[in-house]
Amino acid sequence: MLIPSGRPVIILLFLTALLFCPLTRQLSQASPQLTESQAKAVFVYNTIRYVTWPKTVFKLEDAIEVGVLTKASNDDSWDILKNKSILGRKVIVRKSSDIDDLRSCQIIYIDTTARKDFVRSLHAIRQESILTISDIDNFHMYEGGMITLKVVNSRLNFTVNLATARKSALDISSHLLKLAHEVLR
Amino acid sequence: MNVTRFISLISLSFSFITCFIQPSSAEEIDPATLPLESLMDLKVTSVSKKSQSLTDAAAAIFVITQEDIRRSGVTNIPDALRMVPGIQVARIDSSKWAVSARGFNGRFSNKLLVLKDGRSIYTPFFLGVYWETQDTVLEDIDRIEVIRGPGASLWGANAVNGVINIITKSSEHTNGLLASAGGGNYEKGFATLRYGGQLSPSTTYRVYAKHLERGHFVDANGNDTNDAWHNSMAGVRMDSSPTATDSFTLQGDYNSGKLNETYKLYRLPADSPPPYDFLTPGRTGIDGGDVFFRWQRKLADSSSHTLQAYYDHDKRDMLILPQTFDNIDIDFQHRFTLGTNQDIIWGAGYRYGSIKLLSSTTLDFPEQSTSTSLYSSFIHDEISLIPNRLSLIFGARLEHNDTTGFELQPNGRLIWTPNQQTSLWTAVSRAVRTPTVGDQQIIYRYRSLPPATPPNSLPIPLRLEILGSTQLKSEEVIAYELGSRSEITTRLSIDVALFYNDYRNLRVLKPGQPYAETTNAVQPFILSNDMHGYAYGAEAALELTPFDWWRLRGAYSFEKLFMYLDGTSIDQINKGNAAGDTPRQQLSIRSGMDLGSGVNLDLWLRAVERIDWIDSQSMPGYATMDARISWKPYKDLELSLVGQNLFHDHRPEFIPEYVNTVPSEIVRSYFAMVTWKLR
Repeated sequence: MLIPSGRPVIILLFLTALLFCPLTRQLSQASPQLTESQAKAVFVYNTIRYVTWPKTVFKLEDAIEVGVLTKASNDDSWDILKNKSILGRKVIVRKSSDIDDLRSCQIIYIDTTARKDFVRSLHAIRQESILTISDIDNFHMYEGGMITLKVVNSRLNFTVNLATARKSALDISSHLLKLAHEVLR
Repeated sequence: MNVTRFISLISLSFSFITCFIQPSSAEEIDPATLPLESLMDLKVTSVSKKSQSLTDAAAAIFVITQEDIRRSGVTNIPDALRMVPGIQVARIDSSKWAVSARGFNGRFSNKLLVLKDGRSIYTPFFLGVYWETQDTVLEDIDRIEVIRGPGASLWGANAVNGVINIITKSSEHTNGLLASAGGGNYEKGFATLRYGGQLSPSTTYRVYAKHLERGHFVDANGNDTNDAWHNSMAGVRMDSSPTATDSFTLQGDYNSGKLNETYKLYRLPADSPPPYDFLTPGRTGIDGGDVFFRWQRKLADSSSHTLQAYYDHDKRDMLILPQTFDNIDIDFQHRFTLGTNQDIIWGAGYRYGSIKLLSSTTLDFPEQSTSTSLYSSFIHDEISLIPNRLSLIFGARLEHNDTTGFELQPNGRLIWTPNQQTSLWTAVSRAVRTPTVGDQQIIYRYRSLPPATPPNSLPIPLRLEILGSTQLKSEEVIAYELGSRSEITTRLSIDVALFYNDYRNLRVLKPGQPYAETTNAVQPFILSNDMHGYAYGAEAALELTPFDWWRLRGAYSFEKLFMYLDGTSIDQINKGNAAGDTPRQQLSIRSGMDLGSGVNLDLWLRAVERIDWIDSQSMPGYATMDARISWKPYKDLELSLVGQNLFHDHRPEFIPEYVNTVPSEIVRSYFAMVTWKLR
């Protein structure tokens, strides 16, 4: 018989094939590159260095909570921030389609997939000291919108509405503002 | 070659192929090493599927959010589905619902697939979903995705006219204590207790318990119809991501309840003199449970394995057919990108079902204990023709079942997204509803008629019965769909879908050879695929936010069905039901206002056109309103008052087909509720 028969053999072969998957992937590893959504996640992570929150907003002593309002539950771009910490705080990423789940966060990123009705989401958190970031067009022009991210010629740029951030008792350092495409004061 | 081996071979070849064509990944970057300056200089790539949400899918999809559920004041899942265009929801009595998509409604509407956290809750043997047992802590539901139209290629069998996907929150998002309780005139009392916490930095859990007591509805004269019921449930869920690439979910639920119902049954002419019909009360125990496990491993960006397995158990000591179902299901899925423009998901699965029945005079099955096997495999390939603009999707599911053998359900879709705010999509799909072992074996002695009483013209009693058939083929639909989504401004968006469905081999009854019993004659009717037809319709959903504190949500559906009998069938009743039990038009308008100081006011207006024909009767159309006012005196505490079906004391919505329980009329109800959330 040319082909070995019987279910166990097939299952075994199948499992072997799966085992090899990660191996073949490592062999073909090329120079690292960031996708658009990963770059946005890294940007959000970096802002933590340059923003000062009122002391009382941290619900957890040793962590900073980053909320991602998204309807794309299968988006794994934010996994790039898994097990990261910054300024002595562990970064916890919370993803949800419900703004109510994210109230405890210090940063909320609103994904374009959640753009429908985002004005109401912003309205819902207007009284909290939460840094709001989004890649929705002209996000910083809406009430409660602080930083708009945009990709121009495959490069990330951002606009800051400093007045809105200050209204929520957030202080953004001049270093971040210097890198901004535009700052509304 | 046997089926298992066939499917394993397909899977095997796939896993080999996919291994060697996977593109390189970028997972080794540590963001901490990338200062902001370099990040701004970095060239980024865009992958088409990456952050695409399901709402950008090339299908007629509607998502009910947690906020929609909370603010609508609904106390159960089927009532929440009334806000979705193209979905028909009607209540038969206090504990029974009829839910379907794009027509063919009924308590046993068999053309709709319903999933809860990836677990099919469609009861294949009984051709439908027992909605009364499909309950959970409503506050823990993340969203309910409703897809109208065939969804078989991704989701599975019986997704002929739609898929309902109930998704609960990960335990990561249900931290802390939730306690809620309330009661009113119809909702006699309900209470929920849920606690969520952390077992380790990477593992969270929640446990819950819920109990509800619902009252009875009434008949046309306002009298008690003996359909009060109660149900208790408890469950646990654990989510863990011990490594950067693996995540696990373990879930278990149990429910137990009792419901009152009244049957209209017929004695056999051999056993009794006329009249043969009589009403008899039943008290049905409903018990069920499930255990679910899922393991997801991320291989690279947009590449992952998912393995899930579950067991569920459902026991119902129904008067005319006590029944126990046990299912074991195992599914594997692999998602990966091919080249720069293809996103592929494929998978294979197996389901084993065990059925135990106890026949009665009314319902009889030759085999009281039987089992079923279902093997399936699918592939779904999204090809990006112009990145972020134009995508082509091919999908197909190949299944092998016990009754009809192999079934292929393919579909093709095209989606064009000219800009971030607009998308246009179109699709052509084939889907089937496969006959079940029950369809093959049923003997249903549903009616006895005295001599010379219409429709019996004979001088002796006549007994009518329905017989199953092993000749049954799958019911089939070819569906053509077209839709668009547009966000006109950030405050206004409109979603429109049009469809044309071409049905073949629909199941009706054809008269069999009459025969004589000692005292009477018997007219059998045999299940057969002797009907074809078509349906067309339009559905629209509108979201308008005139002010930050006021939102409006509208849904409108229009549909028309046409049915034609083939062969020797004279089954005007089932033909009439298929063509006539769907309201031609439905309208739902929800208004949600944030009045300040933590006060919200929600109003929900619904108008449903009459049902022309259901078991030779018609149901009047109706307009009704639900209202909810809530107040949050503190951040953690919410008080609410809800009124439902405010425009009528009581009104009929539907009647049961097949199983002759006595229908009742839905009553106006009020209840008050307290919710306490402590994080």
